[in-house]
Amino acid sequence: MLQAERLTKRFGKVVANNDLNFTIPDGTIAVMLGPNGAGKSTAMKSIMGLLRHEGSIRIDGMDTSTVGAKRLIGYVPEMPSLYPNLTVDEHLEFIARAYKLTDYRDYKEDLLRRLQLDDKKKKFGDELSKGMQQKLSICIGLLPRPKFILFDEPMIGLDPHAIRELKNIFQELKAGGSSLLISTHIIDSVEGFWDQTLIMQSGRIVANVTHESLMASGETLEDLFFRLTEAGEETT
Amino acid sequence: MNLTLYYLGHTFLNGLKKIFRTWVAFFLIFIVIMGLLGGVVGFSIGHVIEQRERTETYEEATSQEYEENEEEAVEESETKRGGSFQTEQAKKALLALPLVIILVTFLYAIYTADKSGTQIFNMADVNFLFTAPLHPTAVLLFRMNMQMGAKVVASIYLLFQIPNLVNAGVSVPKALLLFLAWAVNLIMCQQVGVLTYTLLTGGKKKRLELAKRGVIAVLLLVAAAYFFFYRANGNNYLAAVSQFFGNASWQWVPLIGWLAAFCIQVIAGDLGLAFTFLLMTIGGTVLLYVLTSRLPADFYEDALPGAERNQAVLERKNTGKSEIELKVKRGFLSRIFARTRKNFSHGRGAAMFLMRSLHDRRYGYLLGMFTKTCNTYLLVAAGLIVLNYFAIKSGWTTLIIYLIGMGFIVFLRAFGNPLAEEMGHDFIYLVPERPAKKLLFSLASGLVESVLNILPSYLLICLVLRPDLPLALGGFVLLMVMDLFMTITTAMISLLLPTQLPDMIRSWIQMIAISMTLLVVVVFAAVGVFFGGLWGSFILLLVSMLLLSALFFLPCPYILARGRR
Repeated sequence: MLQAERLTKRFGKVVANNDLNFTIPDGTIAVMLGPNGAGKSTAMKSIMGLLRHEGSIRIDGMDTSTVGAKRLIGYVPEMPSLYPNLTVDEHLEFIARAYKLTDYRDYKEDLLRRLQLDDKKKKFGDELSKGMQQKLSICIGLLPRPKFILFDEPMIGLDPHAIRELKNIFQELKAGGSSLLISTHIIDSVEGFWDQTLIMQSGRIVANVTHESLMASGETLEDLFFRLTEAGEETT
Repeated sequence: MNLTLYYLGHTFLNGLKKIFRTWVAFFLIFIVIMGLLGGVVGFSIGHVIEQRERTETYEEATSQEYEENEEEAVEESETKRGGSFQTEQAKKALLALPLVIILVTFLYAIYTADKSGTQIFNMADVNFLFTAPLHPTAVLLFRMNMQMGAKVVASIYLLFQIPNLVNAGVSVPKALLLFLAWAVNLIMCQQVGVLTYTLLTGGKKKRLELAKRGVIAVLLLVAAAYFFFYRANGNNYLAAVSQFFGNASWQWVPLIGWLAAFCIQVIAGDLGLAFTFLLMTIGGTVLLYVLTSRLPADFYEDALPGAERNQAVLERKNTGKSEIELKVKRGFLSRIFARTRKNFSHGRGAAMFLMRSLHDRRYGYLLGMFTKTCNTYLLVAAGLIVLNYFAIKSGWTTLIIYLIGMGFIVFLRAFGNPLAEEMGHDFIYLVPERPAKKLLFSLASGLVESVLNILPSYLLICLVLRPDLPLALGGFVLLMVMDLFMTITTAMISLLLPTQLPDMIRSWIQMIAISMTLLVVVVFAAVGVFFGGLWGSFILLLVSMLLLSALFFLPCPYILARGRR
């Protein structure tokens, strides 16, 4: 379970995240929605321990910046960046060493095959297209079989096959008890498989809804999003 | 360590694989083979000449005379090769050099410690290592080890300086040991920079200002110590510099003094003592490493902007574009003197490559003149005037200072490439004009920039040092022709080299190519001295550089027409 309490991040006078409080239970696919500049990526980076912040973020009771917590968390960044002089296969081997993985080879082959990278294993990082880089980035994020995975705009640059495969992977991870937090500003990309949605605007969480509660209200996620974010714009 | 070795090994081998996919591999192999052949041929010829001389000497002299001659020959040979120096003064000056170099690089590492933990990472490190279950200190040490390795490998070009050291009276094994000292110095300085960063940071950037203030304090302390030394010994300023920095007492200063003492003992020939100092330095550096590994580090947030910037540079390079950050920064004075942008043509067609740079210069800098490069040259000129003041008191002539100044300007110019900006953008390929015309206007732009950059400082030097008028004018013409020559040479090389090539290899190839072409120029200059003295040398120097420039320019339009590779 991931728990954020009073999460606040300031860059000088700018408050990028303002008093965020949320909980994501195990086996949940959570989505973080928001317009550009809402503070989604900042929140993601704070959860990953990349930014100094106020408040606490815990996974299974451990502070997410600790080594123990990082064993449980996977991260797929918004912008894939690879080592130019390592091949696809070597990237995964490198990560396996960084996480001290032992039984990973079959899973690695499976991930490469599903994301159609199995014939690109000898390609160097700087020889891959943006889409390929994103696919490898996803493989790297999933290889340590983390209990909680953060995806920052994961669909960008992916081809239709990869998007379908990734959605299947999301479902499998959930079925396996893992939790996911997917940050995006494209509502269509997460329609149909989410359990919980956090809608952010101007650094704040303006809505924290479950799929069931929204279904019960009769409103679609898109309607809710525009109602909250456009109302915010009007008031500001 | 497992992670570090895996990354290091694969990155190195894959880097080599990439090079061997391009024609550059043939060039490098050619250089190595030619070097080996040259060595074998040179050794054989030397051996044959030595044998012949010995035979002739043996035939001509009696056995006693022969023995005397041989002793003299051995002494003479040892004087040349064995580590002695032609003059005592040169020896003292050389002994002061290691400490000065080590001290400067050491203090610079501390001064720029704020960058040690923030500028060395790339986005892949952020995405894969910052998020991995690793202690931040382990991540910092991982990247620091890579940086140290890269710096040592990158400094291999210094091996080209071995012939110069041999000419200065240092034997080849000793020169190699001095190269080792430089490698140890690089590692030590990297270590000190990271340790300073780790000690002082912790989320509070302002603490790093302490490092800068500390360095300034140390510099002031050294300057004061030098001043008192000078007053106490009653020497002239320059002799005091060599005596002060060549003083044996420095060997008691940990790390800096030990490494300098290693160099001095190598030069003096006491290898036992030298290796003791080397072991002490390595031991001290290892201790710093262990200390760094035990300290908690908190740098992830500080490293993010630097990593993003490094990623942007990498992406630009991969698309074959310049990694130079292009923006005109307006200083305080420039803003005051800012002009309205009117009545100034940006040029049409290929002329745009000349007019655009003039436009940027006119409206971006104080009086359209004082760019960063121009100010650097002015700083050098001011330094030379100060040096001249002290040097005259120490018995040096103004001509020597003038020549040092010329050397400095050429040295600084060799670092830059005025065409890099144009070559790094797509416009040079896209503008619908003949490639030769586009290149000529770009060259004109580079030349005008150089003239404007150098002119103020050159005038200042000439006004103060007052060299002969023909010498001053000739010197300026020489500088400009050399500028054109270097611009065309670097432009041709940058057009020829594949864009994916690692920076280190690019630098090596550029350096080898420029050294080779300069060798040709020097031969011309030597022939000129033989036929017409100083002015003969000057004229042949100009002619050779202009001819080579024309020769190197010829293939450039064709390469440009072919497009970026």
